[in-house]
Amino acid sequence: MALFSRKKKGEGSILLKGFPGNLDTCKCLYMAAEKGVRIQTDLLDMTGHEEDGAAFRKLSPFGKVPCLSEGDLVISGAAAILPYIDIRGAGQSLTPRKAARLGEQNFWIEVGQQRLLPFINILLEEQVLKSMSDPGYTADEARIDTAIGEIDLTFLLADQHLQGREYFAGDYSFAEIHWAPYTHFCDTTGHGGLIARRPNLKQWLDRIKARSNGARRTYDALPGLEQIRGKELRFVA
Amino acid sequence: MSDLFAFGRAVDGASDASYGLAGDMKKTQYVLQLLGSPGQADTLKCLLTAIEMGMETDTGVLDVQAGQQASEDYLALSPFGMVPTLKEAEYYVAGETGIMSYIEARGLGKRLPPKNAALLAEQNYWSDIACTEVGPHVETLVRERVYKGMEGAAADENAVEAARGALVAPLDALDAQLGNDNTFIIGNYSFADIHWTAYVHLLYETGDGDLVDHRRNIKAWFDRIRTHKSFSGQNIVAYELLPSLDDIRNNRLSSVEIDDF
Repeated sequence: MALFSRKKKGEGSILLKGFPGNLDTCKCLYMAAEKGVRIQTDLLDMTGHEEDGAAFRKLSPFGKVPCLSEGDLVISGAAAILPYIDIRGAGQSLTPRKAARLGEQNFWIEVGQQRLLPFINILLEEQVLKSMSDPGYTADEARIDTAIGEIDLTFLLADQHLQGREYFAGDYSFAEIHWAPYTHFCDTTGHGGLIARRPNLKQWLDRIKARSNGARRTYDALPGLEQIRGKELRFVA
Repeated sequence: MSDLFAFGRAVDGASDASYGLAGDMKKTQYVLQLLGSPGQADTLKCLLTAIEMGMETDTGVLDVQAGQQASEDYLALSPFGMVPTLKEAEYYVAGETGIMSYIEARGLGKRLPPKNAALLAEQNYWSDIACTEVGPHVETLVRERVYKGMEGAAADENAVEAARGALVAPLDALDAQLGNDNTFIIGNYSFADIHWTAYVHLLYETGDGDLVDHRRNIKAWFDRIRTHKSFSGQNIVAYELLPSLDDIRNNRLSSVEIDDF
């Protein structure tokens, strides 16, 4: 397959290879739901470390997950896949046009990647993923407590920023695509109290949950813990 | 703390402290103020973006070795302690992602990100590889070979060798990508070139330029970068404003002045 060959809109079907317990996979599924892009899915079993296998490394040389293909086009990593889906999808791009809003969007994306993603991953690893490959695994509570402390601090500052704002950069943007999975997994791993105690963040999440594309709630594209445990990566229509 | 230039050059008395502070207008823009560190790749990327987009930028140095990024004053500007920070009039934004996109959108001339979905994905893929597969190892080399020397400490040669070893795969990948008759990483000049320029420049400054020199395509690309004139059409070569090893050791960061709007 040729990397990054040029495509025209409407060509081919899009296949996403990823894992439901992988935050970047979830961002791509959520983006597809928001933009009304039909995506077929193919499970990459990260509990079995398939991302390190030779077959996947042929598609994604640095092991970046997820990996998207459409015809001859192959892209890996959320940084590349999200804007691709955004442009391929319906309606206007989620990228803000005004410089200040664009800067704000990308600031909050970077905050999420640096200050939330590693700690939400700890919650998922300790409470869900490690016991999938080792049923006798006992969660490391100290590690979880450290993660909770870091998440709480970031939520505090996000809550202050969201005062008087509907979304991180004013209008709905890529920042929401990144933050929705973080808050979703914080909630589903049993730490929803971290959100509930921050009124502006809570209202923001309520707005996110109420969004729909056609008859479907876009938030439903994010997998629950049972889907992760069942290694079920759902088709997004 | 209300202004970036309470740090760095303004307090050392070497700068014109009034320049840009009142939002001096040139053409349709305020003068940007960038507070960063000359040995930090993210600062260099923001500086490169400003030059490429023809945005006048005054710079201040944040002494990261002294831990100034964790000071109360700095955290008031950048609540998460992200470096660098940019100010334009009353607008602040911190971190490379926010700053680069802000400067680009405020800049002169055509836009840097490709409009084609596949090309945009390609730009972001190579930017992502630079940030995740190259950035941490270049940071190690700067710390071990430059910062430790400034403190009179010896470099940890095991850490240096590990970093150099980890750079082989991403540099090989870029070399192969540039072998596809590409003038720049994805064909036309893009954010991907800015990310890689910062890292490759720092490799030369740490004395690890041999990693680049024996990769023919990267070497040829970097020779083009060294003479590449501003993307927005100004008669200025961005590479010439990047800090040398001596600048890094002496905490100096060039400002961007544009004469030909």
